[in-house]
Amino acid sequence: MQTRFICIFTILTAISTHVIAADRVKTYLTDQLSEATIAYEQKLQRCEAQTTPQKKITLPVSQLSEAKVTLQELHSALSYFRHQAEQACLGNSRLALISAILDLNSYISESPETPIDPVKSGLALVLSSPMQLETRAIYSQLSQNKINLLDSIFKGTSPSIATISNWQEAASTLRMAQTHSPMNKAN
Amino acid sequence: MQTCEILQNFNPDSRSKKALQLIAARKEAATALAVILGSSVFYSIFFKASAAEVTYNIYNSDWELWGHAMNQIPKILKRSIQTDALLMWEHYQLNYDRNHAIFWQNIYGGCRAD
Repeated sequence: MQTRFICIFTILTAISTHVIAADRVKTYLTDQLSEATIAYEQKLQRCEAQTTPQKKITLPVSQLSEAKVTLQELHSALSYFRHQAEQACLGNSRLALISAILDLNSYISESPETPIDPVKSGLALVLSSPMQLETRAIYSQLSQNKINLLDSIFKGTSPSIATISNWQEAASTLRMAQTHSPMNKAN
Repeated sequence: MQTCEILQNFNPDSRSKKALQLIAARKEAATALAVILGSSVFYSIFFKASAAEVTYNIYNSDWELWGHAMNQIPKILKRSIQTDALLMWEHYQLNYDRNHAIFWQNIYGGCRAD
């Protein structure tokens, strides 16, 4: 009888210790996530303040037209360089937040096979949206001469059409070139 | 912040609908925005974006409510919405679609009624 009691007591102690330890881990991971979120938000705010007074960029319209850069490609370059500048400013705060989200979600997930839901976990707020990925992917697939040209225009900046002084002129020239290209005529 | 422009019979195209759905699908966005926007026109725009051929009239008061909503939500969520909105605004600016460009510009930065 006494042996059985000791046995049950030992099992209960083991279970409760495990539960308390588990709670400690969860609390630790939640604290880590909270710290990472605050750090990321503060970094976002600082980066925004840094990039607000943007220097105007003037596009070399004839060079763009000569290189047959399309409007979509120009837009993809804006998105690509904006992303690069943002990543450089955010440093590792974004990665730290992603890592904290993954740690907590992996710990509380039912099994290692359970996929982490990007929406429920909050990852969707930190990861690029499909639209952003799509736009940036266009840039990475451009020919080398187009990349060189766009790189020489935008490298080291966080461009948007609001920071381009002659985007309307460039847009209409590039559109005209697209409309009158032999490829389009053939179609 | 620019002055509000009333958008009448605004009919989001498929690209805009997709972007609106992506924004609304984010859990945080869905809960935070749904609470703040209540029964405004933006509630329909975001949460019923899949409905076909619906047009919206967006007035100054709607834009003001949107601006207020954007200031109430967490910075991380605001940034996430603005990143997509900026991309959409640029797309429509470059493609001379004035109504859509105004819509996404206001989604990005809000506007003030004069």
